[in-house]
Amino acid sequence: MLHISKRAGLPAWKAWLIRGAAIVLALIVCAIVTMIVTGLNPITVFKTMFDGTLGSSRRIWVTVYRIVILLGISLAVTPAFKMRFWNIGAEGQVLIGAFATAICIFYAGKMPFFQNPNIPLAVKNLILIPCMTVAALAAGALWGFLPAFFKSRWNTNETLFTLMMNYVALQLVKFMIAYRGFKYVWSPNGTVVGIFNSNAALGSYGVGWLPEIAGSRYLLPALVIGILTAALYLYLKYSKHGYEIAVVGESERTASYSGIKVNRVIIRTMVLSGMICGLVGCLLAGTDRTLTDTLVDGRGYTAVMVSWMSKFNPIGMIFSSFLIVFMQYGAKEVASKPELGLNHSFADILTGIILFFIIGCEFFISYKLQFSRHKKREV
Amino acid sequence: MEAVKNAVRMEGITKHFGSVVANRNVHLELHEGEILSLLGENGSGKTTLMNMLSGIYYPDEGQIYIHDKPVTISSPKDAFENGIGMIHQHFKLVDVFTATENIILGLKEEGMLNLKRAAKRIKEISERYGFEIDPNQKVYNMSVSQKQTVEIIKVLYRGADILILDEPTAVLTPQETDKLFRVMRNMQKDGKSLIIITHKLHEVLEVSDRVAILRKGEYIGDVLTKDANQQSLTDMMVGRAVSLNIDRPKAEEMHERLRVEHLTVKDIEGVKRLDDINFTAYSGEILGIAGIAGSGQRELLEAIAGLQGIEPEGRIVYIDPKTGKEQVINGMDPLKIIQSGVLLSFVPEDRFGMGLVGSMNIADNVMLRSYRRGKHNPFLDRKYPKQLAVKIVNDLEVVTPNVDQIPLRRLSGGNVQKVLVGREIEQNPSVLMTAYAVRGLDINTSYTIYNLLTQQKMQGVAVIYVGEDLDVLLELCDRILVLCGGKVSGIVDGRSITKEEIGLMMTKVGGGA
Repeated sequence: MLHISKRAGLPAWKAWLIRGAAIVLALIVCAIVTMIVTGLNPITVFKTMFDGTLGSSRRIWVTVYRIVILLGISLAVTPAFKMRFWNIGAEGQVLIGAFATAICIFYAGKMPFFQNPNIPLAVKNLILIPCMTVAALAAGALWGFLPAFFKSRWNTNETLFTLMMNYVALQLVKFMIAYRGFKYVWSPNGTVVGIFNSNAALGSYGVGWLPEIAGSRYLLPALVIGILTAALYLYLKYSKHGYEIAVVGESERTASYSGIKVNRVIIRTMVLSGMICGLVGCLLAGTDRTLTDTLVDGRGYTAVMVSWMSKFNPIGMIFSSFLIVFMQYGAKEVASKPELGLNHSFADILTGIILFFIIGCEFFISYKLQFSRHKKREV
Repeated sequence: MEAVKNAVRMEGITKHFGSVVANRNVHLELHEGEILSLLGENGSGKTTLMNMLSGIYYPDEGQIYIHDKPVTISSPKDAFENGIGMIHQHFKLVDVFTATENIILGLKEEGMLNLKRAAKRIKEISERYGFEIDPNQKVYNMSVSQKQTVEIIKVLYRGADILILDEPTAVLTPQETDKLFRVMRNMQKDGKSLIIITHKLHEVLEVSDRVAILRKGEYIGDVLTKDANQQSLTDMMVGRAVSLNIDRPKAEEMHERLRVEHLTVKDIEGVKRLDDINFTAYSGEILGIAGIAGSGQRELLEAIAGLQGIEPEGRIVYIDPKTGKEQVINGMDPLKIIQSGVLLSFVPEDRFGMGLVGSMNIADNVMLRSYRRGKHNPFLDRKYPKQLAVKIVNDLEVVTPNVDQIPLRRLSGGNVQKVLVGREIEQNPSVLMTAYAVRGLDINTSYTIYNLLTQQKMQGVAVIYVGEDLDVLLELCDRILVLCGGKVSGIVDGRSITKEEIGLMMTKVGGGA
């Protein structure tokens, strides 16, 4: 007979030991499944995953960029979840931030000032980049504000509301991509969505691109999100706002009792969430130098998982983002190798197995299983 | 004397929760046809022990025998099959269902659902033991005592012959308690065996045949009730001699601190929860508020604390202790009240639901009242709350491994309450409101709290004490305001009124005179 009982706090190193063991177990199960199902050497598969994400310096940079974006969105959703506000609208908030950025870059590219080849690009971007950042922050803030405002005023369901806002953002982006005038400027033939201001013959070339640092365009987002991680960690742990968020999340009645204005905290926190999402959107559009409807690519939802897996600890999110990105894109790499003869579904199976173990092991960190010795005596 | 038969025998029961030992090597016997009181301080493991009998927890070690047969109880279903039924402190009823529907809920009977037949059986059970119940009444229309009746019939309906009642009297009026005890004796005569957990010693002496005592998870011993008295039981329970007197000194000076005028509160559906309440609270006085649970006590305190909207004709006036300036505080939210310099402390009824945050440590909970200090600093000052937390822990003898790590929820109920009361007193209030400040606390902690409140009173604080134990109200309070159905049934002198008179006033405005 089996009994489940709660553990009274496990030392941190033991918890990490369990998590480490879970990853090892996950890899073993993956290896067994790979051998049985495909007959391939599992080492080959793992090596492909590793090479695909960390195999070369260019790949490492791309992986870092993906981690950073996922981490940024995870940071954004964290204050809201800590407040027990079920915000699944990060997807839309990031997208609308990217959208606002794109609009800025697009219309700037049409202005004589930005087309003037005699003005240095650095000056143009010095003016434009702050504008597009502010626009992205404002757009994200609006997308965060609306569900919070309706929730506090009319007690609407935030999960449905934020989900709905995702579709609004998505349709707006789809509309703009299909909109002729918008497309025309991007690519001269008017058919393909292109890179912003990419015609080297025009004076607007390079306007709105986020600057490269040390020869890499991925370093700027990494720096921005790095600072943001530290800032959010401090904000949640040491600021009065962070304390209020924790109290509201635990009990709204306790919050009101102690004089915290619950509605104000909800709106303020969601605006903050939306603003961080907007900023990530700006980084995405400005680094990728384009806008597509798959720019965010479900990362708004993956971020929810990252945030919860790390128990809302921004530092922990660095690790979980790395893990998720490594697996997702490693799996994609596996799927893309014709010589392995595997498709994306198999990669998803591997990802699924690993996630199952990682999330499942949290159960063993909170609870322990006991086998009872009583049965024997009764016989 | 013929040999006693055991309905229940628990042998060598040990139960850990992580590193905490809730029960260690406990031996407990319940004889057939007896009423056994289980007595112990908070956190002594009474409820844990009983939960192992009713299948909610499973012992780490030890063996349970029912009617001298070894059994394994690993789920509430196993418990029912062994004839064990537990009536929990918090009722588990579906509000929109009738008594009958609640009672048969979850039963797997053969054939079609037959509510009429069930209702008939419920009637039979009620008549047999002297319950008063209407099988077709909906639960949301029931009083607490009626809900409890439904819970008891529920376990009888399932054929239980061993009943466990976890603090059944905590929410009852004296009259209802008497009724419950009559029913318990009827069940005993019918051959049932009962275990009752209660903190009220006079009830232990009144209803039980034998008393078993737990202390810090260990079984201390048992005594026949006829050989025991309140003092001997307390000493056994605490492990040393304890004084059971509440000192009630008279303050020399009394000043108006809070005046409530024509206070009416309506709920969302427009029903009056409070109807034209008028009273004044004075410094140097404990004003008791008595009433059946749900007579408007909560609304009254929350209205004063700014958490409950009131009808426009009402006024709540705070009188500043230094300047004597009068300030109308109704219409202010809690933040505004704090910012206007009103020194009001409030120990709410629902500790974790309102006054505290269970997942935070003691220092962070203490900070709830003071985190706004340093207006222009966006960051928290944790040093001051931590010092305060250490002071509270030392002053009130809170048992805790630390103040800045362990979540409050892990502490026992008594320690949690000490933290809450301690924090509110540390605000240096001019008016201190407490709602059921000793609910669920053992006798030792309860007396600590009574003494603290009296100390506050003597320091010139106006204390408002909402309580449920009439014996305590009569010993502790200078004046008692009795609520009945949201109306003031009377404000009486605590030194001269009797328990019976208050009991009558609680059920009828003006005491039926």
